[in-house]
Amino acid sequence: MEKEQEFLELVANYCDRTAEELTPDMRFREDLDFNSLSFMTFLGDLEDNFDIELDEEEALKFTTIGEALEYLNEQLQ
Amino acid sequence: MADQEHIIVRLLEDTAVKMPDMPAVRWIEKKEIPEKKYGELNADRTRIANALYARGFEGCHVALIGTSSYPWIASYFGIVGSRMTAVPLDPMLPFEELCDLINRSDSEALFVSPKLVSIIEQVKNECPKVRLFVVLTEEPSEEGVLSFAELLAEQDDTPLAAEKRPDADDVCTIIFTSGTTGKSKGVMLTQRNVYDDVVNVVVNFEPGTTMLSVLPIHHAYCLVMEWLKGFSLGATIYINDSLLHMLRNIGKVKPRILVMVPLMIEVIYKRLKADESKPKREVAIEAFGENLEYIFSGGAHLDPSYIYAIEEYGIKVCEGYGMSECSPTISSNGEIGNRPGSVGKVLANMQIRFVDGEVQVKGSNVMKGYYKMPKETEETFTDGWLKTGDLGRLDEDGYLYITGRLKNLIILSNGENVSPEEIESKLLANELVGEAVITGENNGLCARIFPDVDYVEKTGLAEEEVQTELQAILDEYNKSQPSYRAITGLVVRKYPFIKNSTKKIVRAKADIDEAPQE
Repeated sequence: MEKEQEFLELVANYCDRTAEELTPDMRFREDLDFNSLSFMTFLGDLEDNFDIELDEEEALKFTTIGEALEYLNEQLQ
Repeated sequence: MADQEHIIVRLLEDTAVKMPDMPAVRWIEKKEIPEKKYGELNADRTRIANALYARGFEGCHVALIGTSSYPWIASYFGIVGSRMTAVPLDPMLPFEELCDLINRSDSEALFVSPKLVSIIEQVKNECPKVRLFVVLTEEPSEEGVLSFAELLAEQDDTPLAAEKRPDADDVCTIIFTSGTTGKSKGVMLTQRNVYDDVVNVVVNFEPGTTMLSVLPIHHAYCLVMEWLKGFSLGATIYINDSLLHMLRNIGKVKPRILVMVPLMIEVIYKRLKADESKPKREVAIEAFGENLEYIFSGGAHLDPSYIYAIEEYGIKVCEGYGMSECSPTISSNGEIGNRPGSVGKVLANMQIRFVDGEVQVKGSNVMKGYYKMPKETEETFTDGWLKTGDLGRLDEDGYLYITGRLKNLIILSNGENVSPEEIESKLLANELVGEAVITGENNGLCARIFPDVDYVEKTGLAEEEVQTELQAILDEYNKSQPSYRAITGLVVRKYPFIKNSTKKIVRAKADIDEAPQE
């Protein structure tokens, strides 16, 4: 849960929403106004914050918060 | 008489002679940071030129496809340091489009990054003129292709004889740019064009100054204003390994200078603004190091509020203006004066005039023309003046302001130029699409579509089904496109677009969806 909260706060840094307002079905581009660069920078932040290495191609396919969170959980296990 | 003074390679040679041991290029490879010095770069580019000459490529066009790398830039200098023409292409384009550009540019050799090596088979089948394939890697190559390292090993670094060196009026680079007619155009830049652009941009810093290259190297802005300008001043240029790591790498490399597009500057500002716990200068030092002094912005217009806001953190943002056709810089703010909201002063080698508000320029950095497109070239010039398609004015101190656009090109904040007509014609090929207009919104593209009434009637599609089908058409289109050209928004119209007296859609009113007035 702590990790999930940290993840949501990271997302919130990039959009005009608070971590509490974010839901798994929200889409990065369409609902949260991420652009191609802010999304990549966000992925870089994920790597730094959780000390993981993302597969760039895989990571760029995420469309929703839920998908990204699921991937993150897999990486952390 | 031949002029061998105003040629690009001199920008590198002069630095290499003065400081051969100064690091020229560094790149991030996991935890290692390998480097090449100016002396090594100059020797390697000579080997490349000698090898290509020995293989009979004098006077030929050579396509380069890849992201920034040492082999890319050394190969580029090998090509333009001799009597050959480089054709840098966007590695994000679909293979089919790359093959078309290779053919249209009459390229006879292809240098390609290891990630795109799979294009070679397609080029072999579709581009009959290409007779040499070089993979931009230090590793040994597979059968049938050559690696950069193997090409380097073919010849030594004996300097080229004077008659083998280029002349200032030779075309050195062809850069493809979005065309408004739906076909990209190859901008022919001569040695003098590029050389004069580099030396006339007033930015000076001492040798060894650190830069981090984050833009795509096939763009004129990145290639000329970062790499060539940087080399001419003896900078050490670090290559950013991925946009994922851009912010991390700025903190790691601690550059003094960054060359960026507005989209990146917005990200920089967001990062700075996120920490409100400390004094602003401290925030900047913690995030990006103590050296970062200048960010140069180009490619698209930057909202001046970012310039003022970032300046509070002790970092100057200087906006410039240009286009590939001008090699690319037309004007720039810089050390001698920075006026936010303006795009700076016009280069000393250029003249500017305004015709019905349109910015028109001439000067030694203005292109020779579009490759094999005489009609488009003629349309772009009037009495020797280049029509920029932008509206603007000068203030009393000579600073240029861009106030609007005449052309339909969409300039995204990542600096990419997108031709709406090019995309619209693809969408209109679908039966369901009656009318379509592409607009640029929120840093992305939006398709506004009026469905074909007859088709909807014939198929009996309900309103939601029309929306779903149109989205499916966009999804299909997006699959074949680089991410910057993807359509992220869809507006299905109730009524046809507003037309002018010649029945052409009025783009400026594309967002108005009202019943036509009788």
